[in-house]
Amino acid sequence: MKKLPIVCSLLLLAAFSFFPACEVENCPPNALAYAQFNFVDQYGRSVEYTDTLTVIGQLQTADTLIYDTLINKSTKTSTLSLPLSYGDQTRFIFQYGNRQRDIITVNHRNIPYFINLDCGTMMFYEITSAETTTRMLDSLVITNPNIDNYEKENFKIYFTVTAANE
Amino acid sequence: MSSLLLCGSLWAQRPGAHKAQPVQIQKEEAKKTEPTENIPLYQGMSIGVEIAGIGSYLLGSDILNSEVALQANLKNRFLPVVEVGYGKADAINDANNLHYKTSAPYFRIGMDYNVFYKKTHLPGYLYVGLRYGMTSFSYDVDGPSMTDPNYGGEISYPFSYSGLKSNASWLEGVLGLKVKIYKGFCMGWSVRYKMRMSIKNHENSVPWYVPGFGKNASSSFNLTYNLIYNLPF
Repeated sequence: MKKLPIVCSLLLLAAFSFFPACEVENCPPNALAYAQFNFVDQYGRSVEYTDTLTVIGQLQTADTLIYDTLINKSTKTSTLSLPLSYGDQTRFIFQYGNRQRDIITVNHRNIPYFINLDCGTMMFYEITSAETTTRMLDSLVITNPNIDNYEKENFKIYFTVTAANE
Repeated sequence: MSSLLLCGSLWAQRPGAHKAQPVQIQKEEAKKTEPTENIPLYQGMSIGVEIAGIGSYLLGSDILNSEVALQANLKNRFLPVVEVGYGKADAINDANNLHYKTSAPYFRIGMDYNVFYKKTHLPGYLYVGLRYGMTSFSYDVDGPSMTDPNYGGEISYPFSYSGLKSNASWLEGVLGLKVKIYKGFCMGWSVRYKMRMSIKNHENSVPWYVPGFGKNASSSFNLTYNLIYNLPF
């Protein structure tokens, strides 16, 4: 009979084990993976484009061109987060305040990704190549080809900044 | 110890025994042999079945997990154990219609240490232990098509991946209790803290549930409830 309290307390504890342990789901805070662009000068220092900047995304499907305004008349721009399309190629049309235009063409591989049952799926990308026109900007460098839910720089856009502009 | 020494000296003073010197020898012998003499190395085997996992599955969980443990008792103090189990998950999240499915056996090897090894009069004992676990499994994951949230939503990607192979290994720290209930039958419960050591991920997914480990994370915590039978050999 001395064992009875022990047995009872064990049964009680066993009953608790039927309840699942407390669960904390850590879903990534950003549900969309964006390409990150940083503006730098010829020395690699961060620069700001003070005039207005509009960015239009362009996707070419089999029979049509789709345009999506991603950034509308932003000023003092030094970084950009732009969504890629689900196609193989996405173009970003940069419209500067002085009516000049540059077109960045990004070729990418799309990676549908399962995070977990509760957080769902999201699209990751791998940049395979990129090219740009050089009317206003100087060059484009891929610094990290993987676009996933870890926010990080993917591209550096070089501008030539003359002493007068500084 | 003092009573033993007393016994030794009493025995030494029996009629016909030698004098001073043999008394000393008897004392030393008693000291040396006392701890090992009483407990033989092999104390028996036990077999246990984990039933909390079966219970929660019967109560409607998407996950079924159960295992059989074969444990040896050495000197009533060291308890090496082998655990073989089976983990199964077939879950759909109603909110996003994602479906994850896997089922595979898993293995663990380790040892428990009986903290109450001196208190043999008690009906049970408390133990701490370590386990190394491993599993090799394949999983399926599927869900609704993914539609581009930008660019007019023109392009959709089907989301269905099956037969993805993975393997995982982990370490477990165990704290538990085992209590005799009737004759050779015992029951036990334990809390286990699991630390993932390795897992194979895929480009399109990470396993959501790992048999024997639980939901995939760097660590997990769970409770077990075992019915144990002490084998009669």
